[in-house]
Amino acid sequence: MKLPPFLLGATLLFWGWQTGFWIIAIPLAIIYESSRYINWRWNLATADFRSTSHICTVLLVGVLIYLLVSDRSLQLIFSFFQWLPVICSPLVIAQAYSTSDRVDLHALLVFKEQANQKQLFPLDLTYPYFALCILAASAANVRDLFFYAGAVFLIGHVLITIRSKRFSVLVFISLLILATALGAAGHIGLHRGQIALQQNTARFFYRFYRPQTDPNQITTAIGDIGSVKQSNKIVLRLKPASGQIAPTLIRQATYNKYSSGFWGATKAEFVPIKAGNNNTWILENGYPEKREVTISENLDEGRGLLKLPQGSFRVNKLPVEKVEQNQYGTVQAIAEPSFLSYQIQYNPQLSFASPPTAEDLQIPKLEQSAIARIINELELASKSPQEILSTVNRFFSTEFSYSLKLARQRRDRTPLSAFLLRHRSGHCEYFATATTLLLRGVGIPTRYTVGYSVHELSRLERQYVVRARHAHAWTQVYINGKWQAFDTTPASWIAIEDNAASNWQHFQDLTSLIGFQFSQLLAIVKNIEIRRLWWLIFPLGFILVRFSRQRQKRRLTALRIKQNAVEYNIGADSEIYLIERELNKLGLAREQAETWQNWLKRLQNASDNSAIFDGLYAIVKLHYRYRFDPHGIGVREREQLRSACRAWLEQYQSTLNSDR
Amino acid sequence: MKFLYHLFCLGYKVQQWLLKRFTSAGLAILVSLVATVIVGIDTKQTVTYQVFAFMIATLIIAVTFSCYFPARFDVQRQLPRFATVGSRLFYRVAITNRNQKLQAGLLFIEEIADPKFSLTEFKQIITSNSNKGSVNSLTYIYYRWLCAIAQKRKAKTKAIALPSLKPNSTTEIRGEITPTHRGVVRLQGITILRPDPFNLFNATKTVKQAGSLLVLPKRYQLPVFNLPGSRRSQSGSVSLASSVGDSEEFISLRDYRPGDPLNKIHWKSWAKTGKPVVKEEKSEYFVRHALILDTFQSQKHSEILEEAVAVAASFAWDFHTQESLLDLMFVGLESYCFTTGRGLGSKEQMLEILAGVTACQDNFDCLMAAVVEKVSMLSGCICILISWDQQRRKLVNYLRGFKIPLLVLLITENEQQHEDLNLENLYVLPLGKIQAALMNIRSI
Repeated sequence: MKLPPFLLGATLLFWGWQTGFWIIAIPLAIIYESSRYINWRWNLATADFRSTSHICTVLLVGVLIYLLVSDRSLQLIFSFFQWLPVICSPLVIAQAYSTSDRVDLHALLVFKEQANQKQLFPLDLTYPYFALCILAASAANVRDLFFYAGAVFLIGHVLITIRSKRFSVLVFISLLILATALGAAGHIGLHRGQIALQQNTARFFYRFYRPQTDPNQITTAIGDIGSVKQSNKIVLRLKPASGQIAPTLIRQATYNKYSSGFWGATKAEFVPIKAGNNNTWILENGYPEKREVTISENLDEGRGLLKLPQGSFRVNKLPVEKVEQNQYGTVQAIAEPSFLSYQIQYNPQLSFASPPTAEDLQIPKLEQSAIARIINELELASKSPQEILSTVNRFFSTEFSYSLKLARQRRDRTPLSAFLLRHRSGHCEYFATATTLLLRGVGIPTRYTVGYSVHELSRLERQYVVRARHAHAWTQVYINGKWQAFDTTPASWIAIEDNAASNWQHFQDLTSLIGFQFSQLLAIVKNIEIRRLWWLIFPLGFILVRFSRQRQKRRLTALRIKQNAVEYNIGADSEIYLIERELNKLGLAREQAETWQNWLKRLQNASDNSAIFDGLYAIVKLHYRYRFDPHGIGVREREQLRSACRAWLEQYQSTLNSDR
Repeated sequence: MKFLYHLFCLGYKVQQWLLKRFTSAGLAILVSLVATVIVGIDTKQTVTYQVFAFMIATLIIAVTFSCYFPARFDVQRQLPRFATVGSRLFYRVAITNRNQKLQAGLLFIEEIADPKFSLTEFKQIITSNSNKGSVNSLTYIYYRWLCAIAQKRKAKTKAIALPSLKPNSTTEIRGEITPTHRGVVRLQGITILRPDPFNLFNATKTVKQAGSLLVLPKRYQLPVFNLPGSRRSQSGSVSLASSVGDSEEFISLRDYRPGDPLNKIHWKSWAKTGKPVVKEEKSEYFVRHALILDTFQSQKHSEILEEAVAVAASFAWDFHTQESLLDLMFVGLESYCFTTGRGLGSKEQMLEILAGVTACQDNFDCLMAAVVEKVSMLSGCICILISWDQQRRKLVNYLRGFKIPLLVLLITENEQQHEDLNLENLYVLPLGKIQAALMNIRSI
């Protein structure tokens, strides 16, 4: 069954509307739908369709190159999805203008060309292309009601065409409405479910694993609903040089492109930093006026972003394989997972990030109206940069409040527009993003920076501790030829974050300190050179000798016990035991702990024929020698014992028989 | 291995269930669902999850709707005894609607018996030698598994739309089966399908109705040609043959010799002489041809063997058996020789036998021995070979030594491999071009 007339054209227009690719969508729709009015057709064989699919491949490569050049963040994947209808359009148009209404599946590039292709798999490409257009439109991520309504309308149109004629249109429409309602409820539930799952999972796993910040892209909580909760875990420790003050903000990564809750670093290119002597890494040439700070943290993965104060130009005592820096000042270290304690030299007055580019002034289309409205409201256009900064700072500190609870937004506004125009409450990501875009609106180049706020001085450790919940975001503003940190988040955020601290925090801090000290000790041991350990030879040698002596002693004891066991068994094969067994049979058992001598005496006393036992005394004596004499008995004596026992037994048997 | 076996069995069951329960549109929705899951896994990055939710909602409604299908049907199918590979078979099916309501928009599909494989058979399938693809490749193992299933099912069916079924009345419709492999097709019932309003998912009602059908081998069209050959003595071997041609002709009487058949005793002479006397008759002379089918290969099934059987069936069918005999000789589980012609047996029986031919994995000498036994009586011979090696060459040379007309047909996958074969009356029939190659055969 064919797609209903004009449906594919409408779908193409829908895709163009959602993605903003009107210039491509309109001609494509016209070209495809014109095939209904143009009567001439090409007689295309499978080979011709294969050639057409080669054009698609060329388009695919072209689109990929364009995307790689223009945007190297992870958003590229979603941008690529948006381009899919363009890439596949030659095949669909070829089908529309060919004499055949189907294309052999073998014509598509994924299938190899075979010499004797017997089976054909004819496929009407319009249906897959229809699905592709809807999918591509969804990748544009326009979060308004129109996408869902449009998608339902288009899919519903297909369903009504293929519907079962057994049922009336009324039944069909009722069920379609039900499906639409269920779908709406379902997708809202899915979205909220994912956010809840993310929050809970992140909270759970943060205890074991600290996720790395991606230097190319970061996902903010902008647009999420519910409350943002961070862990109390100490992620790093900071100790300024004596007599110096600690930096208030330490930067981790900087980004310059915003899109629907994501910040990305455009064309970020990491350049390796040259290693100096003694694990020193020089980010920029030295400056006489400097401050020093030591940062201790665990590098959980093999790759991690260094936390650096503004104007860092040198890192000492950093035992890593490689250090790289991108043009935005983000520094990345590559090393085995280990504990790091590095010293940073910095000058807060300096900035080494690359000069601003066109991307540092870009505002996403969806946010432009809200930004323009605020700029007008604050009359920023007519002010000098310094005045703008103070106005914006005042605006956010007086008109806005800090909150970790994120409100639900209206569907017709973006979360950021809703923050600026309606609820005016949010966390640092909202403030930093809004400030970044607002200043761009008045022509000041800005960038978005994430890192940590340093404000908690630990009495226990006598150094600053930075917890996961101290993670912060602010703006880098390019004024007077250098980048400067500009933080508009109301100062109350620290108090609000601290209120979220757990009751177990002190206990956690103590265990964390023990772990820290142990890691530090291990790091020290690891760094000690072998030649300095010569003095350890004596105590270690002493321990070794003592240990080996003890071991030898234990071995000798074990050997002795074994030998004793062998000695104990000597004489066990004496034939005297045959006599004992015979006497046992007659009820004349030898009692436990009764010696042979005593037993014989007892037997003689009890027996009428005591003379017969007289011969046993000599045998017993010989047996005792065989059994207990350390020198043992000779072969002849042994034979004598054997024959004497047998002779006595025979005599005893004959006596018994004669008695009977 | 055991895990793979259970996985494949489960996979087959799931596939059958999906194909029966989901309509084409339903399957398209399923594929789209997978695509939306991949693209829309993160609900923050795209809004694909909205499309996913809508499609899942339609599917849920469709599946829920299929739970209620309170209809009752009776089915009677009139199945012919035979079908031929590759030729669609049409037959009559009478469906009785036992409800008080008109049933419209229904479909029906034939249920072919589940081709159950044991673990041993499965091992044979996946370890059998093949020159295609890598034996260890999972994809290729699955491909072989699918081939084995198709081989065992032997036929394909598809859902056919039913006309509106009036209440409490019987409607006769035309069923359709496409046989794909020779052998017995076992049908176990007919399933009536009712799609939901979205036409995505089918409600089903299966009526058990066992039936079977013998699928005869495919036949090719043969050129008109005669296999010459002089008549040979057929001493008493065709006693059941009709009297067409050389009938029993009396020559003389002689004394009984142990071993003479009882029907040859001349009772009147015995009564006169008092000792057993038998009639001596003139020996029978007529044309007898052999159709030798080579079934020796390492695999259990192969396309070459199927084609060889098809070519043999074509000759067996086209052979004029009024005045001559045709011996079909091949080796399956044991050595077989079936004779037809002169009123003995029929062409249909020959095709039935060919429908059951299986590959022989024994020594080629078995066939050689069977041929040696019959060769003195043969007037001509058609040899259908599936390979060319020393043993087969020996067979052909042996037959050639008897100076009887011989036609050798070699079926091969690779035509170039046998280009240098320059034997008289040997024709190479490449796979895929067999019909064309057969038309080139000239009379011997």
